[in-house]
Amino acid sequence: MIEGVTRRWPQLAVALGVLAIGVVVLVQTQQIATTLYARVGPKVFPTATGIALVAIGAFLAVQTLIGWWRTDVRAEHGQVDWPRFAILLIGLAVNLALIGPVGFVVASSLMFILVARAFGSRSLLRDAVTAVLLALTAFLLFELALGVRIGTGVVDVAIGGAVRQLLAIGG
Amino acid sequence: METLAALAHGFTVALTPYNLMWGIIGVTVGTAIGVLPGLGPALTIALLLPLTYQVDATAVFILFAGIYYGAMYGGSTTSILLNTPGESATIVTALEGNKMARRGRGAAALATAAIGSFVAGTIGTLGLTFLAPIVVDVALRFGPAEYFALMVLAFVTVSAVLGSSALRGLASLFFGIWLGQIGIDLQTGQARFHFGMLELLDGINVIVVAVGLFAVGETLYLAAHRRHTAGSVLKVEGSLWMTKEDWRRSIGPWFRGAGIGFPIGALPAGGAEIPTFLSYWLEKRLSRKPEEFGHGAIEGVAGPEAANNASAAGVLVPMLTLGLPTSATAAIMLSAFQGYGINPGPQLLSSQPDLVWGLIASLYIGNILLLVLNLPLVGLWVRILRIPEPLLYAGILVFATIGTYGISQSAVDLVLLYVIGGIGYLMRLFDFPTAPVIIGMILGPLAEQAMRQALTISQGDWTVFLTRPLSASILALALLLVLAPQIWRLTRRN
Repeated sequence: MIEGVTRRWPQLAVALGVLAIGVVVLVQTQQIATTLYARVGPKVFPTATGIALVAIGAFLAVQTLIGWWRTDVRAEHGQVDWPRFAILLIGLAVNLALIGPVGFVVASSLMFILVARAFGSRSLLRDAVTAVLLALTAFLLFELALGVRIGTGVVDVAIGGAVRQLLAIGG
Repeated sequence: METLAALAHGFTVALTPYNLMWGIIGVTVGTAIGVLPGLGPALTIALLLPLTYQVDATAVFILFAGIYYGAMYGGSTTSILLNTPGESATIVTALEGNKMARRGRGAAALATAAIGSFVAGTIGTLGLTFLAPIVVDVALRFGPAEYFALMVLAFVTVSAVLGSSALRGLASLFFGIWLGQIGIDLQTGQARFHFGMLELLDGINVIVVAVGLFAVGETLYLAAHRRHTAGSVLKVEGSLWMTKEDWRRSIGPWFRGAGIGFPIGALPAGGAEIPTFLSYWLEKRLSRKPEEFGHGAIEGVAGPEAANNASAAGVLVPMLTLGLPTSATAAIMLSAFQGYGINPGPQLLSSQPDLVWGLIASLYIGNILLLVLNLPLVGLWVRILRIPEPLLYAGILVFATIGTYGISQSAVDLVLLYVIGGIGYLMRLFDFPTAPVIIGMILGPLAEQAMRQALTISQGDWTVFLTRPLSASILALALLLVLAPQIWRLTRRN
C-alpha cells in the first residue's frame, strides 16, 4: 500500500490543492465586509463554497490513500515532453512581456513561431510568414473594421497610423 | 395556433437579409470549427462575445445558434475521416463511421450523418418550438425557492451524474462557483475575493476562463503529451447518394435517435453523451446484423448522430425558458444575454419575442443550410482538416490573445488566462471535467441571487426550500442523484 501511495503522489497533490483552494476561499471570506443590513449576507454563499471545496479535497485525498482513485497519469498520458513544453511556455512568456510595450503584432507573431516549434514544425519560413500575415490581418480587422483596439504598443500604433494615412490618400 | 403565429413572425425576423447573413456566417464558421480538432462551439462563442458590444442581440444569437448547430454537423466529418472525435458526444460516431470510411464507405457515412443530423435537428427544433411555451407556462408559477432548487438540480446533473467521478465533477463545479463570486456582490455592493487587485473588482470575465480552459489548457496538454503525428485524413470514397439499403437501414435510427436525444437534452440534465451512447446501444440491439457493429455498421452512425443533434436542440429548452444552461456552450450564450441586460427566464418569450422566435426560426433555416454545406461541399471541409497542426494550435493561441487582451488591454487578464490555462491542463491530466467550471461560474451567481430572494421573502426562514412541495421534491431528486450511484457502488464493492 505504501508503494502504491508513493506512485500516487500526483493525485494526492491535486487533492490537497483542491483542499488548499477551499482554505483560501474560507480565509478570504473573512475579509468580506458585512456592515450593511441584508437578510442573507455576502458571506453565506462563499462560506458554503469554501466548505464544499475543503470537503471535496479531503475526500479526494482519502480516495487516493485507500486506492480508489488510481488513474496512473503517467501510463495514461505518457511522459511530459519537457523541451516542447518549455518552448511553448517561452512563447507564452514572450507574448506577455512584449504585448504591452512593443505591441500585439510583434508579440503574437513571435508567440506563433514558438508555438509552432513546440508542435514540431521545422519550416521556420512558413511559420514566420503565416504568423505575420495572421497577426497583421487580425490587427487590421479589429482596428479598422470593428474599431476594437487590440494593440497599443509602439509597433501597433505605427502600423495603424501608416494604414490610416494610406486609406486617407486612397479615399 | 398561437405558437405557429409566433413562429411565422420569427421567420420574418430570421429571413431579413441582415439576419440571414449572420445565420449563414454562423453555420459556416460552426461547421469549420466543428471540423477542426481542438476548437469547439463553447470556445468559439466565447471568443466572439465582444460582438455583443457592436451588433444587436437578435443577430448575435442567430450567429451563435448557427455556430452551435454547425459544430455538431462538422464534428461528425472529423470523427468519420480522422477518427479523432472533437468532443465526447461524437466518440460513438468515430467508432462506426471511421470503420466505414476505412472500408471505402466514407461518403455513405458522411451522408447518413448529415441527413440524420438534419432530420433529428429539425425534429428537435420542432420539439423546442412546441415545448418551450408549455415549459414557460409552468415556469411562470415558480418562485425563487423553486428556481434555486432547479439550479441545484442542474448543478448536480452536470457535475456529479455525468462523467467518470462525481467528486472530481463537484470539485470543478465549486471552483467555477467560486470564480463567479469574485468581484462586487451585486446585492450588497461588497467586494469579494479581489486579493487587493482593482482588476478583480469587476469580476473575472467568462471569456478568460473559457478560453483559458479550452484553448490554452488544451494546447499545453497537446504540446506536452502528444507523441504521434497527426492521423491521416481518409479520402471520401464511394457515392454521396446512399443506396436503397443504406436508406432503409438509416431511417429508423434517425427517428429513434431523435426520440432519445431531444428529451434527454431538454431535461435540466443536458449533455449529449448519454443519448449518443444510448442510441448506439439501442441500434445494436435492434439491428438484424449486430455482428457488423464494430466493423462499420451504418446504424451506428445514423442513430448516435441524430441523437447528438436532437439533444443540442433540447438543451435550448431549459436555456430559453428557464435561463438554465446545462452545457458549457449554453452557459456562455447565457452570459451573452446578460451582456445585453436581458434576463433569460420565463419572461423571455413574451418580453423578447423577436429575439426568441427569430432564433428558433433561424434554427430551421440553419438546418437546411447545413445540409447543403455538409453534403455537396464536404470536400471543402476535408481540405480544412489538412491544416498542419503546428499552425492550427499557434493560430488558436493568437486568437486566445485577441479574445482576452484585446477587450481589456490588461496584462492582468493575460496572466489570468495563462493561470487558468495551467489549471485546465492539470484538469485534463487528472480527468476533471471542464464544463462544470463554466456552468458554475455563470449559474452560481444566479443561484445565489435566487437563494437570497427566497430567504428575503421567507423572512430568513431556511425551511422555505423544504416546505414548498415543488422545491422540496426537486431538491430531494438532486440529493438522490448524488447519493444513489455512490451507495450502489459501495454495495457492489463489498
